[in-house]
Amino acid sequence: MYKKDVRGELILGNKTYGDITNDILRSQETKAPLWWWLAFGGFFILMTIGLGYYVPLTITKGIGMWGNNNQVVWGWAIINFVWWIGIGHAGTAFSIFLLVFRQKWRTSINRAAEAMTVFAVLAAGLFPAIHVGRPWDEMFIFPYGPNSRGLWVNFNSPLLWDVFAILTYLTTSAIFWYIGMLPDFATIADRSKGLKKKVFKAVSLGWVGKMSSWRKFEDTLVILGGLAMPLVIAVHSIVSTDFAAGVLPGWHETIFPPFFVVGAIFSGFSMVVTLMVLIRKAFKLEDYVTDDHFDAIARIITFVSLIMGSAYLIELFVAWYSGNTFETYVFDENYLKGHYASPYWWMLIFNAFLPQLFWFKKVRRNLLLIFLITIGVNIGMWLERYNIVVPPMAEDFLPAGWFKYSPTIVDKWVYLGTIGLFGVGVMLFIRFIPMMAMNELKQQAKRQTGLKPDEKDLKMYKKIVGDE
Amino acid sequence: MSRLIAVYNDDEKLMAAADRLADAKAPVEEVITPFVIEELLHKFHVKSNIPFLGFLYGVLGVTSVFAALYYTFVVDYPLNIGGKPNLSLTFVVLMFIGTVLITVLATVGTFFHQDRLYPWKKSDFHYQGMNDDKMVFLIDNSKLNDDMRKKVISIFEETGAEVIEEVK
Repeated sequence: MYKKDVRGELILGNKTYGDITNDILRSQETKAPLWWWLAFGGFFILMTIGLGYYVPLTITKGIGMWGNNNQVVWGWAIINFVWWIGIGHAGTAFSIFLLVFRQKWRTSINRAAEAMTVFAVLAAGLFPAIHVGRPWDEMFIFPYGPNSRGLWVNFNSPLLWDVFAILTYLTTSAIFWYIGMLPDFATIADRSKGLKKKVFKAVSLGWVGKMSSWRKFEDTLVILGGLAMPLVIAVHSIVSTDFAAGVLPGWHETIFPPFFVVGAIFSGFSMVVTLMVLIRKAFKLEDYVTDDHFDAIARIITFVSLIMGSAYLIELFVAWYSGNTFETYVFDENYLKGHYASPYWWMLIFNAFLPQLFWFKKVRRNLLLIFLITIGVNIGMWLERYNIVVPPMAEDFLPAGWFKYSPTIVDKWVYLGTIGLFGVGVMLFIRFIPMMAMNELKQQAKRQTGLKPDEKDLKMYKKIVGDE
Repeated sequence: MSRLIAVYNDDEKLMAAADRLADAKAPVEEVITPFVIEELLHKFHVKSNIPFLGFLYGVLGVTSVFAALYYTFVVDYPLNIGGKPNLSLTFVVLMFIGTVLITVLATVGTFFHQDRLYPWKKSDFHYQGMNDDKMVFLIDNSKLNDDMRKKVISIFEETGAEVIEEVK
């Protein structure tokens, strides 16, 4: 009775605890396959060219190297920043929301999602850092005392909140990720030799899985999770306020904070799925990342896609309902049928229409379709940020000032460089860190074979289903 | 320190032993498992004060961030931004973020401190496989009298311990 489970079995193949360790660590205990070297090399080249040449070029020559102009003062940098931050919410959205809501199916996927968060936030952080134009003056952002400047920083500005929010988010998610890995690092240290053993011994901080340690470990993770959950909402709300506090038509909207948060979860979940499809295929982890997992994520993506679609409709409706000429121009003229109709319609197709295919079970169970749709969502979410940033600025109040925006080669390479950074991070992650939380998988395996049900769970189950 | 240890490779057997040891009021020092077994923690009433301390850090965070904002923005250098009040609701945003940062760092610091976790730490006990699939009972020999010792060993044997041995 108790074993009736909505999600089916989350670990297939009657694994023993030892099997789980062997399966998950196989990727790092065997030689790296050719595809890994090729992918790593490709991302490394992108990173080197983008961050090693074009970022220094931007810093030494200035923001004039970008496509930004007097009319469109924010370009690819802010688009990419918001896009990466959105993806960076994958870890927290996935791992922590599902932890707090006690969704056990997070287990196989949370580690990879958390890793993505850290790399994506690093990639995101680069853009504001170089966008200020004079990175050597960045200490002025921090309130280190008024003596040298005669005043404090403006604590009422969303741009300042952003600095603190993102640094706090990066710190919290990196710590959450690391703490969760301590027991797994100890496992690796036990099984390895030489330098590897020394390194993993050091990073596992001498972890021993005592009862008292597990209690503290669990309590710490829940506290971190509980704090990080509202932090995600705060971070992306603040990012949205960077825009919403402006007076530009198309930016000045009260719907922005929830709209941005949901968008972030949308792109984050999609990126997790995209990568998990590849990881599952590459490392033959079908027993751990089951079709039921993808089914569950696809359902969430469908739901979030509906919210996104409604938000787009609300924007259009409010623009029309406001009767404001400028607002109406941006939405009803420019987006729907004007110069920027093409990115707008593609955004609608990728974000609002295509994910609706997940209503069909056949699509939710087809890995190729899931992969393609989630790639589409990531492209769609990039286009959404493009639509928010560029068209309202390019064609705003005074037609005399209208100006076209196009990115330069430097813009493009800095973006490719961050993709390289993210890719290199993910590649190193799948090679050197256990891709799935082994200790949590073992807990899940135990739950499945079941000693006896937890009394709390049993009580809740009886309440819902009855006594039969 | 000399200890009596019993190694299991099956959590059902481990729990059977745990039930009987708890009933016999055996002086179990620790149980080492490769993953958290909630039932075990309930059985031995393992508690931590980290949630309470986390709450305290939160309170400390809110008050200290508010004090810092109040000092800089209201007392030390009030800016006139369109005549708006200096003490404003916008403080809430930074108060929240600052509180999260302080609480996270302090909670993790407490966890590391209480559990004595630091790089290159030499753990005081190690059994090969304890982080993989083995579960180990540790019993401090100095707390065992002869009767209890016999009882404990018979419980281990009857519940199917893989290894029962003395270690230093």
